[in-house]
Amino acid sequence: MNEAVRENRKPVTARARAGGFNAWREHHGWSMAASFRRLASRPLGTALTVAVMGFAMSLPLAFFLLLANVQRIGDSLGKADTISVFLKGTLAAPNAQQLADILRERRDIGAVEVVTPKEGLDEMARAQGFAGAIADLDNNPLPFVLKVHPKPGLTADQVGKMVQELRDMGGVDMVQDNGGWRARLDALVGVGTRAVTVLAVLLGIAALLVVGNTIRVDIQGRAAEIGVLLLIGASRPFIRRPYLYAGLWYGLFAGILAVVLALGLQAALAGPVARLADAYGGSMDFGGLPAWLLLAVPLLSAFLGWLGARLVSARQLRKAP
Amino acid sequence: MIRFDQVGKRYEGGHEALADVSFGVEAGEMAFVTGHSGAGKSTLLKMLGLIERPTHGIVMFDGQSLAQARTGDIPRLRRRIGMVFQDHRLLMDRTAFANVELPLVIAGVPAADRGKRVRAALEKVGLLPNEKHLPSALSTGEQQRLGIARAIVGKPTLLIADEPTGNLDPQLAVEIMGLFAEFQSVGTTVLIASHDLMLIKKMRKRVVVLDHGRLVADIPASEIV
Ligand SMILES: Nc1ncnc2c1ncn2[C@@H]1O[C@H](COP(=O)(O)OP(=O)(O)O)[C@@H](O)[C@H]1O
Ligand SMILES: [Mg+2]
Repeated sequence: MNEAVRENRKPVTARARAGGFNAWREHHGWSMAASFRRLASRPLGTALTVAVMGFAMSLPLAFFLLLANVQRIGDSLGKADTISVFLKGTLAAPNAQQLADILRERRDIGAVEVVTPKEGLDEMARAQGFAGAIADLDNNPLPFVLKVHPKPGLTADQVGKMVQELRDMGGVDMVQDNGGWRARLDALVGVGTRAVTVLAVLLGIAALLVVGNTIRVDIQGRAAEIGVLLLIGASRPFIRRPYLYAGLWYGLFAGILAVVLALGLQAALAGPVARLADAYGGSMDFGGLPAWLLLAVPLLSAFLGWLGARLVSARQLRKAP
Repeated sequence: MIRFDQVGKRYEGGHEALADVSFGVEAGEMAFVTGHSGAGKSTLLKMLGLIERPTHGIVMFDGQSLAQARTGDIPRLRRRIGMVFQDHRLLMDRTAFANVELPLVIAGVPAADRGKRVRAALEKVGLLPNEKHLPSALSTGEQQRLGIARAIVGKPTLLIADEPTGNLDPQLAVEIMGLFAEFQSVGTTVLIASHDLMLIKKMRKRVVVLDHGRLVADIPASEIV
């Protein structure tokens, strides 16, 4: 009898396999469209889920945008490792070069650039829009400036000691060290970046739960339908697929919403940030969200939606008769 | 096509719904299962649909023992059986067309071929003009006919129906039974559970009678008067 059963089964299995891929494609096409139509048939509920998830995910993007621009403002105001040594106005070019050579001899100093008064004036004209006022000047009031780059890896104390020694040198009028406040700003940005990362992970989990719960309620409401589908020969993966696609759609739309919100914020911030940079005497372009991030957020969000749907549907459908 | 061999069913809680039931149905045959309420008619049909499993004996379908079917095989087996229910079990939020289309989608029939087959099935039950309607817009008789269209659209080898006329008035009931007879005439095996003896007599088909879970009579079509 067993032989007979096996004989009987063979052709069926072979046929099922031959058509397997086409059936699989058919199923996915149908599930994708069916789940989309289902979401579209409940516009308000769908919009709410997408909105909650989208707002949640736009938050880390917004903070990321703010941090990136704080960092840029800092960068435009000077590098942490540059010490500006203003020489006395009476010093001429050969003296400045001589001093630069002396500094280059030091073990704690890497490079030294000499900025001539003319270069300084040009830079000012470019950076701070004083071109008009500067053109009116009869002679150049600026001194020679040495831009000193300490060797990398020095401690704050070592740099502080060096700055003191530079101040005590003959011919030096004033030493400006950006290190202190830059170090503080960098530390602040570092803390902020860590906080945004943690926030992004938490809100990602929240997004996953939002979709998961929506799908769970949906499956509960469709218990009768699931029973009918099982009776007419649907497999569990087939029944589950539209819910997975629904999760994917929720995630994708929420991700797109998050990106749109972040771009809106970016547009709103661009002007004020540029003015802020100007006020601090720097010159910078507003840093927008990078293209890869704008693409990655909807994809990641779609994945989270799918994952949320997957987690609950596995549990919910096991309960089905 | 179908073979029940000393089949017994004891539900959890100890109630014995079927005991020592043996009979067979040939391919292309149409038969009624009848008996009082609680006689075990539904239980018997549920075994063919793998909704319940026998606690004794063997149920064979198309040369295959259903007891050996693994859970993963059930969907494929159910696709070869068209099932009609008293309460029709339609999906109320989908059109008549979409309801009938479902078994074809499940079977992986390409979209291009589905339309033709769905319309052919709707045509057979006289619902082609209603293809875009929701089930709630159909009368009880039409809903039952829609359930039948869904059951036959996948060209099942076996069609089973549990009290398909239970909610219908006598005239509609005769109409529905006539529909089943038509499917038999084109080669489908048909097994119907019904307690409506008057109606069954009119159909002049084989009748299997259950009484408290036991098969007490098996009357061939020729002896129905
Ligand atoms: N799921 C179940 N659990 C326990 N007893 C059941 C269950 N289904 C049916 N029964 C019992 O089995 C007997 C046969 O039921 P059923 O097959 O539905 O009879 P019929 O369809 O002929 O009215 C009845 O006494 C009924 O109470
Ligand atoms: Mg019954």
